[in-house]
Amino acid sequence: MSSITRRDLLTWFALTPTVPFFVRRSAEATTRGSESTHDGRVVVVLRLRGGNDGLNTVVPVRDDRYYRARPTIAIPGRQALRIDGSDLGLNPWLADVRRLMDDGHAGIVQGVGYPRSSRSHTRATEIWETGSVAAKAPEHGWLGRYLDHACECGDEPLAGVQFAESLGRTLASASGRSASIGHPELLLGMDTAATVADTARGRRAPRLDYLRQVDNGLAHAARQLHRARAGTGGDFDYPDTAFGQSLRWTGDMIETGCPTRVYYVSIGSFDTPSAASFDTHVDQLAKHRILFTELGRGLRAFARHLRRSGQLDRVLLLTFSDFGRLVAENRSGGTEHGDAGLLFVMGGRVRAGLLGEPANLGKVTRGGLDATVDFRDVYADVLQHWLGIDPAAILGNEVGSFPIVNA
Amino acid sequence: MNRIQEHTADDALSAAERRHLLRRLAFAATPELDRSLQGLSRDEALSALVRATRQAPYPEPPEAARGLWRNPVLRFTDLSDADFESIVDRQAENARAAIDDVRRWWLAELLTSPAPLRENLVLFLHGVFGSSTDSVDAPHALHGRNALLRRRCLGTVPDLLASLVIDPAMMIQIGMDGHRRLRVSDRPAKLVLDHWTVGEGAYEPRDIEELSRALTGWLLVAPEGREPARALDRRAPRAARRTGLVPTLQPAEFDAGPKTILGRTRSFDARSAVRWLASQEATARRFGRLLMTHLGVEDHDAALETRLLATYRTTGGSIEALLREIVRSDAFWSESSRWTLIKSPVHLAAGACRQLGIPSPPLAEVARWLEASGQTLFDTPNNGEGGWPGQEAWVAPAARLAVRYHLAAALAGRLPALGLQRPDPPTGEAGDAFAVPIETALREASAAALLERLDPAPGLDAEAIEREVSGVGLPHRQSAFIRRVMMSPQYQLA
Repeated sequence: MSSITRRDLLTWFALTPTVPFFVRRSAEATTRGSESTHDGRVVVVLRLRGGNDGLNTVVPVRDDRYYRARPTIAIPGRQALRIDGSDLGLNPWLADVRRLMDDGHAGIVQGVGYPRSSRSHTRATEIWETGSVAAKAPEHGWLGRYLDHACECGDEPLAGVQFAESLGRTLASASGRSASIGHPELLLGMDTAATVADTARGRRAPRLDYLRQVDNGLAHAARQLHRARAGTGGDFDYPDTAFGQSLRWTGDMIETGCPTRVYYVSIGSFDTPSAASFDTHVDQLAKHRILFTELGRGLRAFARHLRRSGQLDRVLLLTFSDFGRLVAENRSGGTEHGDAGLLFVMGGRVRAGLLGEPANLGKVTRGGLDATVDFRDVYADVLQHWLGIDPAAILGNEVGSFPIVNA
Repeated sequence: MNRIQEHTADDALSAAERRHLLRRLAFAATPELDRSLQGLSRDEALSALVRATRQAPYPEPPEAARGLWRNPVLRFTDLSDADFESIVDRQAENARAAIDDVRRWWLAELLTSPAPLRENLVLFLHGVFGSSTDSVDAPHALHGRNALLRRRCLGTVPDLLASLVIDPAMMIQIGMDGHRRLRVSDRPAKLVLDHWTVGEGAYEPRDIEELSRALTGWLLVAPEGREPARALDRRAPRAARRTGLVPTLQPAEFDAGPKTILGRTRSFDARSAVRWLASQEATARRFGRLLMTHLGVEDHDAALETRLLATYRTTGGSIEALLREIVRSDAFWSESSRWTLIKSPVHLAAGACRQLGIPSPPLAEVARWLEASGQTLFDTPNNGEGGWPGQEAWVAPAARLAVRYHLAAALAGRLPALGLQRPDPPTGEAGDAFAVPIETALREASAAALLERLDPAPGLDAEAIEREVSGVGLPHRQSAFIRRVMMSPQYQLA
């Protein structure tokens, strides 16, 4: 019966080595976490599910080729939020992001991709999540490998947190230091203070031992969430969506000194047909309106929350999406899978404004935009100048660096 | 072999042995079932459970699957694209509601039917052959297959497969509906080989081609005299041209020539081909292993596997005989097979309802809990291509254990908010106080008696739990006790 999925297996493998940590360390980690990592830097990965269209995000308002290619879905120049000193404007639904850029807390890297880009969601996701374009992708994610090899997070079992029902590839690690949180209320409803005498300890019972260990890890996660409930996220205008509330939990966990170093949240849904995703084959304008409004509101609330709690300077958020989209629109008011796209960054120490080169509509391959920034160079900057480690240890020797951090 | 007690197969089962048998075969050891097995040997106990299964009436179909199925998304030539799309959109919602109705119907059987062994076997077979409501959304087809598994769960594997291969739900699911002579696809044959019979690696590419030819010719059509009067668009996908669920052989579309499958050359058709595949040693071995896994038997030296193989051969693949061989085996009763089965979410819920005598569980709430626990009925993993792997996979990702821990809340209709969105403010009683609707006779039970009824793996101390929940107000203290036991690693095991 070959029914277990690859993702299940990854999660399962990630879990197994974690077990001894849970048993030995969970109580200790809970008490020391806040002191040892309160000043530590945090990375938040935000996935824009689907493949976000870069041209309708940062709009080339003076380029006739753009308007000719998109007769029905181009953003009129008068609607775009113009960027001073450029021929570009932001999508009008990104007003909150524009304010963050003006405040010096957000940037947009243009033309991000990699050579011979894949237009398959599955393959593209694998590439972005592992930070590798190798035909045989690494088993663990780029930040999972960071947690394995370089993170100074001791035996902390909750060094990575993904707000989702299951753990994806980015935080999957050999040491199993990441966990998925899909139903926070269920964790909060656990009885973490249970003191039932377990008279069966010491008896050889491998499956019971295994369950005890998983239970122990869950209890640790639940204690962190209980701690995070003391955060002030409720005072800020986070969207009441899975994305918005994941970001609120992230803000509350950071604020209250939880030991997690890497968070993963996502916006857009493939799971519910009625919900919007960035895979905008149809009705792109309407979907962008919904998603960009939600994105901007969430990021603004997150930035305010972190600034008010004095945490903004230790947080770096960066986004990814499977790919950009073709230059020309299709017949359904949308666009098809393309190549180079955009990447948002946010935090107290990011390079703000538009970064990299604007899209060159005169340089199009198979209808898609060529990449001018390799995403692995962005990852390398995060590793080197934000997390302070040698990026070669995680990404190999061949990567360069594209600066997104004011170190 | 380290046994629970030094009983032989002919001795009457001890109390501990009866509970072990019932936990594995019937979801839980209820007092009634336990009494019915007193004084019986292994063989006699199984016979009693089988007899109860055979005597139990079949349930009436769910509301959504009654009457004649009519395809609401037929693509007639006189429909505009816009009208058709609008019909498809509307139907998607209706189909979900109908599938939920069928889910609740089966869930009620699983949780409360008087034939728990039968429902457990239906659950097992459901996992072996897989199911996906993405491909099959007709409630009549889903119910029909479930009823077929219920009728044949103690019969032989070849008979079961010969029925399944032309079962409407299965025909749709594996792509056999409209599988035509000159447009042969590999998919149905590959699924039959990989998931129903011999398994991956036990055949050659040529066997796929030959089996594909044998599976041709079958079509689901409307009952006679019920064909639609309007013309159908011949270019529309099969789902928009399916006029009924009556499997019918279209001789012109059947490849009647000789085929060589796994070394035998015959004029195989769908049913004779799957019977031939069902007779293979690889099928027998695979089926025996799957049954052992479902029942949590640890067969370390593969001795039981070998015996199951022989039993399969001599009985023509009788599922009842395989069960009997397992129950006769020392492996089933050995210490290393005890408390080693991580219950499936269905097993957990069905066991709890039966232990506590809950007559009318909140089905919608339990269904929601099952989905969050990773076991949505009629939707097995990988889009129906295979079943649930079981054991540790039930708590991978680890957060699934947190869902399982809230079974008591689900049974009380008080499951906390699922997902990441901010929960609605609590209404009614605050906090954890809720009442699990247990049978009247249990309401005065002592902590020790209640713990015995819940039957967790060894290690929970009733008095310690009682002290823990002593702060809970009296009306809900017993429910708090139940909740605490269900929120333990021990309760997850059978």
